[in-house]
Amino acid sequence: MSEMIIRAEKLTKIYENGYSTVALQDVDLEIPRGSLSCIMGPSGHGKSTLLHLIGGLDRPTSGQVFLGNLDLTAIDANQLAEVRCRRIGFVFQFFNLLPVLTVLENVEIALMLAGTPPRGQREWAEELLDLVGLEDKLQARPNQLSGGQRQRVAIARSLANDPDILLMDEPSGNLDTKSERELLENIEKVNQRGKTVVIVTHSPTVAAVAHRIYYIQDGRLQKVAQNR
Amino acid sequence: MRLSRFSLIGLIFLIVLSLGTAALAFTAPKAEGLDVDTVYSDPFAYKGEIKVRGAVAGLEPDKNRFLVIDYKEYVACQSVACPAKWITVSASGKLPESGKMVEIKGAIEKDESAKGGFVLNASEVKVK
Amino acid sequence: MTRGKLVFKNLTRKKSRFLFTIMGISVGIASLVTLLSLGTGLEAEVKKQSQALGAELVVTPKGWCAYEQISVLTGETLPEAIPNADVEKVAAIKGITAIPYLVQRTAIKNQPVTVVGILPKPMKQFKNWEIDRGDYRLDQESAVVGSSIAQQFELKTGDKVTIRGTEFKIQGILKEMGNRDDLVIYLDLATAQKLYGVGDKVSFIAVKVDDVTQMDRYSQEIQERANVAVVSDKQLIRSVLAIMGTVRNTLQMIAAVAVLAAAFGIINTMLTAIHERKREIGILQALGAKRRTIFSLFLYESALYGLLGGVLGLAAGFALSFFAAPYIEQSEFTAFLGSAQSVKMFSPAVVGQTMLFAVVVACLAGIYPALKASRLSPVEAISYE
Repeated sequence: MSEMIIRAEKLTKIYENGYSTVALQDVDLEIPRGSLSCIMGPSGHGKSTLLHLIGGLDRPTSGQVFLGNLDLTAIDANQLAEVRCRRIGFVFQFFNLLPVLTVLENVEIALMLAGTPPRGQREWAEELLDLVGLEDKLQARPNQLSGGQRQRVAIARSLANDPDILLMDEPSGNLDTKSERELLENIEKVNQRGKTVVIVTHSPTVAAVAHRIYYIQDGRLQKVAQNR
Repeated sequence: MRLSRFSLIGLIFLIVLSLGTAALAFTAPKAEGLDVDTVYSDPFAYKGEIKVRGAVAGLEPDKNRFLVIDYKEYVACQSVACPAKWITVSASGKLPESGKMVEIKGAIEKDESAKGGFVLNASEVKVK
Repeated sequence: MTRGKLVFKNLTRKKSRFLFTIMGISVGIASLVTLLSLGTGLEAEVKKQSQALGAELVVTPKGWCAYEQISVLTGETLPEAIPNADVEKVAAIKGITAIPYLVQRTAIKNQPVTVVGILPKPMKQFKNWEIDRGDYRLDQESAVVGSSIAQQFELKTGDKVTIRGTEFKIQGILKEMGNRDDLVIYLDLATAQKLYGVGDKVSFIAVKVDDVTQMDRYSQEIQERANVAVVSDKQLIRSVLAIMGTVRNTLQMIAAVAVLAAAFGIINTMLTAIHERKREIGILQALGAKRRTIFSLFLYESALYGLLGGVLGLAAGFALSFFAAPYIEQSEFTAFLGSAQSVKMFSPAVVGQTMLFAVVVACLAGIYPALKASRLSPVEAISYE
């Protein structure tokens, strides 16, 4: 078995909003480097929470998350931001893009946040948009794009700082079949370039391309299925 | 930026308007013309019709005359009781009320019975 | 992509809100600018006139109010109340030079002109006057005039002016001094006293002391010897400013309230913007924006409001000072300062102070919203719909 890039140990997340909601409980998880994995399960059972925890967007109530050898639960907010910036790319279901910026600028902004000077940003951003097939939409605004195109911009942007891992939360959740297929092609292309991809999804089409599928129910990891 | 040029004009207009109103709030009744103290110093140096501003300090209705004191002095001390100089104005028609700011158009005429030996024979009295 | 570009795009995304917020700041800043330019102009004018007077102490009759004290500087007619005997007593004090003034008015072509009765020789020395044309002679039938008067009424040496019914020949025209001295007809003191029927009295005495460190002592000595009051040039300036105080205080209140309202306007606008952009903040955080990055992005936005509002407010304020100031002055300021130009336009100090103030206030107003934005947790921001 290849090296594990993500390891979660006894991951528990309890939300305190006047009353306690257990979102995740004692989840142990290992995701190999370079794999394409899916997290599946009913709505509201902790899939997105798990994705947020392993992406360093949120902190667990207890347990640990390792990114390689780095313990994400042991570093401060700034270091966590640094990790999100350079090592992880996110794609969400809705509203990934900043509406006031053009497609090109939406990709450039990720580079800006990583400290790339403006001159270097443009060339690389164009290349990434070329990769997802949006080279003719550079100056378009997000509201001029279809849902599928927006998700492809989000993928291009998530790759901007050459991260190890891509985390996607229902990326095809509001796409039609054709757009979903195009999106999947892009995702596989990215995966073939060596990126570890983790997708939270309900879609069997998406699950069909995954190497591994993790089933979450009631905040617990129920089973892990190997596709190939 | 379709909206912005129009809005900018509106914006500037509103600023000027609001500040203008604020400025007007400070404007006490204002009158223009020569000052009483100035004219009093050398009344016969003024030939023909002149315009004098001042505050009405006293009335002599039987002679159809009233007295005006210096506008600035009045503004400064807010009282008609203090000054030592005034101009006697001879007017036809209704006399203005005491304490009012007035603009008087008229000519200087010799009159030994009045203070300083002259009166201002008014052709027009405007109350401000 | 740069931060500046992002900030600017975010700032102008809601055009009407942007403009209304800017307007709030502009109104505040404009009122501040008006206040400052009114004040500084007036102060500068008073200082200039006091310098032109050239005296450290002014001896006035007892019981003069601030209005009359200020008239010393503005050339208004003054009540004549110090007898020659007192002038002599003051002049006799060692270490001071005493110059009596009798300030009166006449008119040339129906326009008021100030007439000052002086002691010709000491006055010339005291003021360092130089003669431009003719010669310096003041007596029962000769007068000397300031350069502006000569220019304004096209007077030449040898021309006649009539004052209180008496003709005077203009013997000399003074070199331009650049102050109120240029606007005066000078007569011999005794002649003027007779002409205006004021007996042997003068309006005030300008006093120059040999040793400025001994001012208090001189002032005391003058008051011991003669029945007069003494003010220093600094006190004069202070009483002018005190009178202006009431007007300035009101303006200051308006400016303060306006600026405060503008600051709340910024806070409100920024909080609304943050509420609307919660999700975008989450995206930025997911992309790896640190807290201080989010904080600075929003703080820059506020600062930019201050900067733009400041520029617009400056323009509006100067315009207002220019157009509305004559009205404000008419009622309050000119009452004391004659026709003194009390508005000074485009002073670099005013511009600098105002811009700094605008930006600082905007930044202060922006701190709370920016802090709020930076403290959003990424998950909360992303999950917000």
